[in-house]
Amino acid sequence: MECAPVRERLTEHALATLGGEEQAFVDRHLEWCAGCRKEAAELEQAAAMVGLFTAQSDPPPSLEQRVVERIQERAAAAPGPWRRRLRFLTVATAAAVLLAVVGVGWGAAMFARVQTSREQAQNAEHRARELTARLDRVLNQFLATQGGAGPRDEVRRTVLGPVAGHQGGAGSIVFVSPTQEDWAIVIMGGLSSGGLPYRVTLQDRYGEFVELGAVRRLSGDGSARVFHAYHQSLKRFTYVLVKDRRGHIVLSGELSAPPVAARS
Amino acid sequence: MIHPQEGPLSANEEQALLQKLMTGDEEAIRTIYGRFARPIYSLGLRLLGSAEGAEELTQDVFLTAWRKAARFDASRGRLSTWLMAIAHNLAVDRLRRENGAGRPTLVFMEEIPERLSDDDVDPVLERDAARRAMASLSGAERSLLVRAYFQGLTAREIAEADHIPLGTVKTRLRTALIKIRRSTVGKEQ
Repeated sequence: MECAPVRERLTEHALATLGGEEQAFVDRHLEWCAGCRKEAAELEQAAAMVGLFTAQSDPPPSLEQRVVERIQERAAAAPGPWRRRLRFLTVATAAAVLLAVVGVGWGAAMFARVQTSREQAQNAEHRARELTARLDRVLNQFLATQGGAGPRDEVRRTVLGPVAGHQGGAGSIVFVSPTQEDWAIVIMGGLSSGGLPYRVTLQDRYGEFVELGAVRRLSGDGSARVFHAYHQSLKRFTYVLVKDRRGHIVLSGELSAPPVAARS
Repeated sequence: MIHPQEGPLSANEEQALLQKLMTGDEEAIRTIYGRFARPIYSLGLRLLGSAEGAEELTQDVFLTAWRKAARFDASRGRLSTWLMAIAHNLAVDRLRRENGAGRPTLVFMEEIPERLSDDDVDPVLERDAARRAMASLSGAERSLLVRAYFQGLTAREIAEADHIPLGTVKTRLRTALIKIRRSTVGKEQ
């Protein structure tokens, strides 16, 4: 992508006067272009100086303590270095439980939907819906282990189905928050070891993506899971894709649109 | 209450403060609050038009700072401008959510003071730099920036309102920001 159309918009980007589409356009470019990112940062710093040039008012005395308490509450709940490891283990355990509940049949059921005769496909579809409902319940339980969702948090989920000619299935949650780390989990089943290593990505509607993780080995039943927490926002990503070692998409799903999930 | 702070923080001090903020260190939180809550709250008051909105914004800014503390790089800019950028973006996001997609309609705008009053003792010395930076602009440049930053007008809207070419408005806005940047970089070195 060329820099010229982005640089033309950096001033308005710094002043926060771009519309949503243009803002997203610039943000995508800044993800990877260090030169434009440097210029954007300088313009943003200058714009911030404008904000300092305003008549001053004192906040109410009680606000300071509220800020302290709110940050300390979050800091206490957030994973530190040793807590990150603990959270990963919690995720791994939860994912294992989820797979146990859904069972080996998950991937097979998803595969069967596209591979069999009409009657068998209907039966497979029914089974897939049952498993999806069970998966959804367990995903909700998993979400609760991560502290649930606040009023401005977004929880998006999808069931990934196999692309024609492939097998398997997956469930995914993407958690987007203005105040916490965003994270994503994908739990897969019924994959073929012939496609290893698999790459799991989140993709936006313009084709730009972020890596979620790689699967280098499968459990005996063809299952695997990936989990990743991010500093960047995952808000703009709408698809979850699993690609095999040749780069072919084997599983795909479109994330549900927000609204925000209620606190669990 | 706002704790009076003396003297600007060095880049190392600012970086260290953010490191401590990440851990929820109370002293770090109160130090940053003491220095920057007032301009953040004031910006919120002017952009959102209510004390309630300004208080919520201030809390959100500090929470966001805590969340993103690992990404702050003191070698690339001052903590004050980093926090003010967070505040402005969060305020605009909030206005867009409340008013629907598109340009935010700012509820309230007050006349921007031309200079600090003698009584306006401010612990954030960058505000002094901000005043000088704005003074370095022409009246037309300052007006353009104020309309864009505080009123949320796009370059196109300004161009149509003033019957001047869009490219001219964009160039003037960019020139104004670059002038501000140059006047503040000189102070940092």
